[in-house]
Amino acid sequence: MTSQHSNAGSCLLDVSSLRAGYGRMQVVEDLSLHLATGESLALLGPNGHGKTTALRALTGLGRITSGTVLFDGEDLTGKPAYDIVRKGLMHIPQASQLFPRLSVEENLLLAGRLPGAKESRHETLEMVQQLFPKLAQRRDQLIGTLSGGERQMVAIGMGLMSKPKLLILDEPTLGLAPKVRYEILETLHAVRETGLSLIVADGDIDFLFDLTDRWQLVEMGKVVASGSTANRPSDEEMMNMFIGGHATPAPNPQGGLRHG
Amino acid sequence: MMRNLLSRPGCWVLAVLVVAALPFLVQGPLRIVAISALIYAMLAASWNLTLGFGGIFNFAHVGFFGVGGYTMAVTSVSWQWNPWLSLIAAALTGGIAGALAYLPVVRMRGIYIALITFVFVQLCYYLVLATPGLTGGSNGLSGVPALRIGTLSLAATTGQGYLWLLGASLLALYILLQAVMNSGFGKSLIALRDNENLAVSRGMNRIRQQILAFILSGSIAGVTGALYVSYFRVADVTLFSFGFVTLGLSMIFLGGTGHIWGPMLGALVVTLLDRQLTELGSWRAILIGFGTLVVLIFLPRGIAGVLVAARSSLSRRRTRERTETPNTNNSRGLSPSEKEPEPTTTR
Amino acid sequence: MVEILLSILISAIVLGSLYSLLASGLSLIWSTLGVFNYAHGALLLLGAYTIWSLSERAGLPVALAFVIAVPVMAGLGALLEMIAVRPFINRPNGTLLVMVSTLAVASAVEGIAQLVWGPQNRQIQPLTSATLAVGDIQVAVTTLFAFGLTLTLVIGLIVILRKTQWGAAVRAVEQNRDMAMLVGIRPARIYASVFAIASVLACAAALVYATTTTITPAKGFEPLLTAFVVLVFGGSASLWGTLIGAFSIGLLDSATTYWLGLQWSPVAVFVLLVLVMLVRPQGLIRGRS
Repeated sequence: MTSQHSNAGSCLLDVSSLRAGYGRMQVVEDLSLHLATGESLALLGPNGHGKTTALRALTGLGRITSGTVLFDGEDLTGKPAYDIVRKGLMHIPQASQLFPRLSVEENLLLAGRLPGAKESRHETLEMVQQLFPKLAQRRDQLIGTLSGGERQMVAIGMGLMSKPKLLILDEPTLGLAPKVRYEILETLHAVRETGLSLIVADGDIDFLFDLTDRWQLVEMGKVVASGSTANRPSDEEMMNMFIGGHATPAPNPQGGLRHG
Repeated sequence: MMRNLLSRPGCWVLAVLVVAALPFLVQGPLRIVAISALIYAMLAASWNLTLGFGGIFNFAHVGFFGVGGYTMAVTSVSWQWNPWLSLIAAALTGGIAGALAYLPVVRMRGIYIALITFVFVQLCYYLVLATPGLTGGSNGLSGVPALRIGTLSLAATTGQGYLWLLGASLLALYILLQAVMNSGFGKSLIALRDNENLAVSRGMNRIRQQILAFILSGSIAGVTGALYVSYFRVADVTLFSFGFVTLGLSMIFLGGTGHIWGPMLGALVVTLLDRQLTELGSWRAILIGFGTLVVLIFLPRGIAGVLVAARSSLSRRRTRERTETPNTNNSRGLSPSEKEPEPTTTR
Repeated sequence: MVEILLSILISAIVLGSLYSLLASGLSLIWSTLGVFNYAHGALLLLGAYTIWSLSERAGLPVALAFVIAVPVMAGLGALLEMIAVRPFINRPNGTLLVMVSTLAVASAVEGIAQLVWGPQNRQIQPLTSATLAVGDIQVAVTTLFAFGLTLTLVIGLIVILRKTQWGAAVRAVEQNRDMAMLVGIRPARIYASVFAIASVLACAAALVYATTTTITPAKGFEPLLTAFVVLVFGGSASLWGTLIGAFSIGLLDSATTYWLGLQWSPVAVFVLLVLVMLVRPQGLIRGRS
């Protein structure tokens, strides 16, 4: 059972100089980030600049070329995803189809199988169903038949089922209507109250600034700017950061490369 | 880049000399080994056209080989044709077999192609067994006449003529494959293999290119089969057997799929090794089977891959010593064919 | 006429049982790992020879021999996965490499079988020679037993996949490998256990096979090929489809054997396969991929 003695404020996640990518295409050049327990961090940046690749690499889905990942004092660099999730680091990937031919309840219960979360699986399930009442209604429906918003709710629910210390969400609002985004935002606020740490990568700036404490801008595989979300920059400042001077076409990892 | 062993004129001369000198280099009982090796080299190299360069899970190649072999047997024995004509016929039937094998898999990818093409060979096997009137059934057809030039049989003096013929054929095949792979057609095959969507969006016609590859390689395999039957004077259902399939695959993967000469080298090595194994009965299958497995695990790019990588690193070291400037971008120095691609998290 | 149809039907039941057991194992492997196991026939062969050795050589009753052979085969299946699948599954071209590697292992196993058990024809004694009268025909009880065993095992597998933790993990890996890893499932363990279960099914198939016909080391591939056809025919994604497909093909096989002769029935089956692939590449029975 993973111990809960992480004090608020102590370092939970420490990523140093992460380099990752596909073959010759190192999409993540030199990414470092740092998260304290109880904090929540937003990752901003144009698509294709390495946010997803970095998140996949540090949670064991993708290959790390170099750099280190320290989580709760332990070195998790290069460990496979199924070991990393056991340490309390849960990742919900972008646009995940989850398990399309299993029902909502089956999906949620599968996510609760880890030692430490297993014993209280059914209580956690109830909690998730209270957070997302729609999921209780649709418990026997197959994921493939759900709407995007409902699927995202299941995804977040699955994230919670493993009772993680840190939850990483990649593009949770992708393709969702504003009303649904708002629901998810509210739920995530409630989740944060329980002390869960969060890293969220997304394109919806308002969503992120409402939800998180700090932000970091990732471009060309590096963190180029960061700040606190207490002060939301004006739209003009945002434009300048995103577009002015930094605008470069995203490298395409698929283009022209041989992959066997 | 497909390294052309014959790129320098000196190599040409050397190659022709070696072929001409074959009967002197290889005497007596070794000739049957050499001839077998040359035949397998042609089989493996032509197979690599669809399997390695085309990236198509083609398991039907041995079928084309068998079809060509039976063409030679049936036409020269039952229909009394001149064996040289039979060779041409075998090229035709091999090509047709290639097209027929490809047709059912036109709309498929990957695994299904492997399955259907594998079944194609089985279909040939059972068809041969089911038509004993034509093919001799399980007894096969024997008495295949040797090729002759005038009154001189190529089989004379332990196959001297065959040795020359096959040596020259292999050289011709190498040149042909080199030309094919350097042409637009060859490059389009590789492009379709590596990134089909991109290639198709650039206007390449996948079906046309792939069926042409099947026809070409089938044709070559057909001729190879015909030569095999012509030399060994008998055609039987073992031409379609798993033995050939496993043997062929072991040669291709041992030699390396990335180069034209890879499978040829693999064929040579495996034939020589196999020769030592014929006395061992059942151990032969065991050793070839597990040997192939070991090669697949530890030599993913085959011997050709190892040789080419060694040569590259040698030349890079020499350049570095010569220029004395630190080479910061080592990873860029390797051409794509030599660098081990990163494993992806696909199933 | 009725006798003819009945005897074709009985033959179809035996063949269908054999094909179902083989094809369900292949289907499980295909849907979880995305590869065809060319060594499946070798597993069939090893199962048959193991049961034979235990019953004919060691003198154990066939039923007991079968029960002992089951865990042995499960172990061999997991071993096969470790040496011929695991090294390649994550490589580029992994699926092709696995096919070649399992083919190589199949070849090696044929040699091993030849070495250990010799090239002679072997046959396992049927469990019982009792017969049942159906109309004017005597139906061997073993035929009904084979049918019953097949249904039990295949339906049992379907139930296990639906209801157990392991089944959920297998389906998870099958549907979304990345997500499965993210919830802590180790794909390698699932793969090994899938191969083990497929081998157990192959062991049952071996019982059916080797009690109805003689086996030699060279006979590993024949039933495998028909099982492949069943896999494609039945959509390769649904075990129910595999069952239906297997018995349909068993029927086709036995009917063509009766009317055209033994040498034409494989041709008929393969021609059917080609036709199916031309008309409906995804198979006849709806399932996924």
